[in-house]
Amino acid sequence: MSFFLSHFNYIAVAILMMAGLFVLFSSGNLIKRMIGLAIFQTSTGLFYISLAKVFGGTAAIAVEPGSSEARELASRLDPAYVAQYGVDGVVYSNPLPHVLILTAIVVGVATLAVGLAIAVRVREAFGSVEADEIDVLSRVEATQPGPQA
Amino acid sequence: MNTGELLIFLALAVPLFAAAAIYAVGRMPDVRETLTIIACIALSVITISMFMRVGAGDPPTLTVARPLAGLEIAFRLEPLGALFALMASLLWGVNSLFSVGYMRGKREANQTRFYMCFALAMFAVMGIAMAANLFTLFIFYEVLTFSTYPLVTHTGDARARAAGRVYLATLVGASLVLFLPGIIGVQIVAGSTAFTQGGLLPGRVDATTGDILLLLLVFGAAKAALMPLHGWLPSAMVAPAPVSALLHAVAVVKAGVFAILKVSAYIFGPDLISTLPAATWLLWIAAGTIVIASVIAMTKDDLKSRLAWSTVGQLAYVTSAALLPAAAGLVAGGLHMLVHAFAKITLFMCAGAIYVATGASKVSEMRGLGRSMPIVFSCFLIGALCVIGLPPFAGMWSKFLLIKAAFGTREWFTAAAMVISSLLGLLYLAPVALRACWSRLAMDRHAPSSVRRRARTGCCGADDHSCSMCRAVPAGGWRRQLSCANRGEGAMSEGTQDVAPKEKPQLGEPGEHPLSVLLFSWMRGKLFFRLLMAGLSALGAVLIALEVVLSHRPVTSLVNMPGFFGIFGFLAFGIAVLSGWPFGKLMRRPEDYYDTRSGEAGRDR
Amino acid sequence: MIAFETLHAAPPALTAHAPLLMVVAPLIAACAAALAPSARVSWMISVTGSVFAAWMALAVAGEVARRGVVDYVIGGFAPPLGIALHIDGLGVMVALLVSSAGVMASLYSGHSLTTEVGAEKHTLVQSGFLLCQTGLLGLVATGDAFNAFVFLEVSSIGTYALVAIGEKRDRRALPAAFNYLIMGTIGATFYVIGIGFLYAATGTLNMADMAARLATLDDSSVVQAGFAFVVVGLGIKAAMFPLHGWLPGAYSYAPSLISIFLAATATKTSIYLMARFVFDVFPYGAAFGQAFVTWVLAPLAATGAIVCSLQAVFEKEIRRILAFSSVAQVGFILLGLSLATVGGASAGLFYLGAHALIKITLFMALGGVALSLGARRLGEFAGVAREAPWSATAFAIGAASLAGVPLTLGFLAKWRLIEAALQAGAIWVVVVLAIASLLTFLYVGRMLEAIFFRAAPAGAPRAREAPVGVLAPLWVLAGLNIWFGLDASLPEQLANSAARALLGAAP
Repeated sequence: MSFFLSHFNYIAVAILMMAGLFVLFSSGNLIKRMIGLAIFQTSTGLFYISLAKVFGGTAAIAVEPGSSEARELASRLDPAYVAQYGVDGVVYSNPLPHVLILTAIVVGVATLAVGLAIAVRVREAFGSVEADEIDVLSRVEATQPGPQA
Repeated sequence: MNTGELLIFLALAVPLFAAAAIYAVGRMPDVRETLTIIACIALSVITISMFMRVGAGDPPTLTVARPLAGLEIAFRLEPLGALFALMASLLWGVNSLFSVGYMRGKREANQTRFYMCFALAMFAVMGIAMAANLFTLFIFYEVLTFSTYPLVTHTGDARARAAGRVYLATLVGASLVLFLPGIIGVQIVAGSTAFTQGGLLPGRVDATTGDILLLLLVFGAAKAALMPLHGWLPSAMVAPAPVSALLHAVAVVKAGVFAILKVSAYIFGPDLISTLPAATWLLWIAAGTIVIASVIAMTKDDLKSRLAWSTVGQLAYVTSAALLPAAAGLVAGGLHMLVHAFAKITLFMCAGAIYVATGASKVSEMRGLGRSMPIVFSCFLIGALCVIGLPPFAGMWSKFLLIKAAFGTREWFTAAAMVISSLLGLLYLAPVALRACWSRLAMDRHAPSSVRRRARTGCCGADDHSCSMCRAVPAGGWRRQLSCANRGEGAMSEGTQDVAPKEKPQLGEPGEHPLSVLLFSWMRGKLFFRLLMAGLSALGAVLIALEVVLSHRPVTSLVNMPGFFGIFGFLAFGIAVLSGWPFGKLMRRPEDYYDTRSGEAGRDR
Repeated sequence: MIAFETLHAAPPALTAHAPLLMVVAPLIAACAAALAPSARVSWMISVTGSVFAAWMALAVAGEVARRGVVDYVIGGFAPPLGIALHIDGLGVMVALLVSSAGVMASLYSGHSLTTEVGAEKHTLVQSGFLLCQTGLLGLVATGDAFNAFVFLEVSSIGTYALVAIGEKRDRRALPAAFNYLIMGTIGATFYVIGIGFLYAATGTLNMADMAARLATLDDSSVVQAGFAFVVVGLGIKAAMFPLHGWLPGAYSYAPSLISIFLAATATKTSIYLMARFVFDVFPYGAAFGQAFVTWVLAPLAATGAIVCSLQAVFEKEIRRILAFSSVAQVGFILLGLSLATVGGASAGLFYLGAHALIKITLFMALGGVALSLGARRLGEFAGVAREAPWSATAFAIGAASLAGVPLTLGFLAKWRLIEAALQAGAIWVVVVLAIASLLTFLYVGRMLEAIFFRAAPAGAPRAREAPVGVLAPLWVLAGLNIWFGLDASLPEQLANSAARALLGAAP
């Protein structure tokens, strides 16, 4: 049980990921698929942030050692944590995963935009955003001769 | 570049250049055919002078390219190759003269392609004959296969295309699956594939490796038509007679046995061959091929088919000779290759001449034709006796040497098979000519005078369409053709040509290949999804149940396998992604949020 | 042999920054092309950018031959904290491949776009094409695992949009692009998750650094999970059987410019990255890496090679045949790599290069013909050889090379693969290769029979010969197929040094 409690964020990641994939695969609607994809991608964001989080850690903005702010931040740390790792002063969360996931979010947004744009064009070309109907229309297309240039 | 190298270069360049030139002047038949003849003469002169030079001084060598480290495209002149090149170039000349008459007589289409491919085939033969290593030999062997494919399918009808497919599938298949791995095996074992006096492999292989390599290389050279890879040869009979002559005498099958002779003499060497058990097995197979092919030849009524089966048998003689554990066998094999080429080309030209002149392609139709075509049938008799090996013809010497070598090495099976097959040859080849001369005209009994007249004057020369009808009639001879002709053109084509495939109700996509339907369509069925879903649900339930019961200690030794969890995770994700799409269809719920007013599919499933 | 050691392709000032310039040049060109006033100007920008990138790739090749490996520190922050470009023999080979394919495709694009894409989109298509090139070159050059993801997505997003552009000729391009987008994004996200695991285990993103730290961690289940995610993600991107579902549609319906470029490069760079992870970043000596290669990679590659060749045999649309053939050939390449010997890796990488050249030739020849003939199915190509003999002959050369006819590059590639398999004692690989090669012969035969030996039915639309601007690069490629078939020392040299870089031993 304690395992689940201490890892609840990872469990949330797994649930989000599976939910995203489920929506992605179970839905024939292209828009819903994009929603599933977005949820799936977002779960990675949570995953990376979880990796970076240090208990009692603060944002990676340098604090003058010995200042009152630093003392206050240090006082918030769990004594057990301090004892275990022997930290002294301010603890920062790892900023790198944040940066990484910022990039990944940008990539995800771009993908989402392209995907939705394609969905719009699909609707214009096929008159539907349902994968099944598009499949049927595509198969008909396969038996037609190609267009002449 | 000294004279020897120059000769090698010219021997390759002349046919290649001829092919290009023939293509360039394709619109002018007279020029095209003159060019062919000139090229034949030039090539013959070259090969004769090559033949004269063999044995004098170092063999000339020419290295053209080195594609990979340790692999060379190189040529070297040695006696066996010079003999083969000489034979092929002389017969090409003879055959070209014959082709001009035959192709013009029958007004065949695509003649430019025909002459061009012929020249390309000669280019390949020259490459094979002068190859300095197995790699080069293989390359030109394949060039020969591809350049002769358009010739085999020359007529372009369904039968020819089917024969062409068999031809390509057997030859390419065998060379890819057997020959190429064999050659690469030699390369790995010996570090080279060069043809070496006395053999490349002795001292470098153990018996097992040697056996495997020998089997791969001998069966891989499927052009030698050793059973069970002989099927392409009889089926290639649909090709025009000059092509048959090319296949049987000039180039193709000879390239196969030549490759086997080279492998035997220069890769394995007689000493190594004599220690390999595989050589003995192959000798038995060859002996079996000799006898079986002769027996089958006796049963064939179609003359070209009978000749084809005879070729299968005769080739096995050469294969046997190559595998006899004695150098004498190689000499006999080379001689037999030469003699058989000259004899068989005679027979095929006779068959072609008979066909062009009378339209008769079956032995039973040829009775009595000898009275109107005495010269052709005399030639046929000579060729037949030569193949059989009766004195005073050349075939006698090669057979004598062969049987002597077989006795000398105590290969009784081989010797017996050769003797039996010669006797059978007497039964199936000689009577063709003899009956033609001494029987009454076959058609007197079956055909009315109009058909007979057409047969005599040469229906094919006069009337292209009737000619193609002759060819299209698969069996049944004149009577059937006559009845077809009486029923008119439409009935004719219906009776003999392919019936267009009917539309069948299909599981797959429209127009999909039936085999594809068979292989893949089951995945599209509804039942399949249901079963899959049910099975997976049951599996999941069982797994969950097991989870409760089982402890998490490593229950099987599988868990201890290195990387078990990695692989497990990989497979699970792979399956999840894979099964996603079909699952999507199963899990979808009916949805009714569509705007039905705009006439779209408002769905209620 | 080409002495890369003495190759000084560019002046020293440029050579010093060549790894970065190789990636940035197409990026800058992409911006310029998007702003270009006319189609012609954007085409010239595209050619210039591609040629410049190829030039820089050559300069890098010289440096790598001299120094073994080129590390370029971006912005002066030293790795492992800073981001570095890291190019070794393997990277050079793929970079040369991608950049030369880019040059050929951009030369070709001048004519193809006019018929295939609406005039108003030319500049944007060129821009997308250059972005795609940036992504692939960056992927090859980078030494940072997360950067690899970014570059992968830069190229992929460009590709999704470009595939969708094909709707003008065939509206099936749209669902194909959508599928590709979804599969590609799932693949990329898996990769990111895997990198997350690895980062959690090692605390670094620099591949070389990661490799050093993983060497002590091979029992960790976190690392194994990361491995699984990375490999599945890249497997989707590389169209590894059975994760190849997106490829046939994307290759078949995209504008020919994109088919050409994708067929030569897209799966190849993903294979490159996968090979890098499987053999280089993860300690290959570790048991789970070996178990993966032996029990997962090799069987899947073999199944893919045979099943997809079979599917190609039954396909009716000529571009789908080529697309399925591509998936099958990916199987060939992975089979070579899965032998896990230097010879096998070298043969696999040789095959990778050969296949890129072959497929670019085939798709370009097809594209050239399709400029005038909107044909899709095999039957509609009947008699094309008569009307467009130059394109058809180039296609035949490419097809012969694909089938492995002697005197072509494809033959030598198969030869090396079989040789490596025999040397490694993997007889079953030889059998699989032989069967798949036979199937290759079958579908190549079907294509050539339709093009060369069947007469066009009366009244069928006629093809026209492709314009000179298409024929010139096409025949350069066809000629290379033959030239390398006679003298393969250049690709062999590249493949050997790449294999050495990958597996770190003398051949």
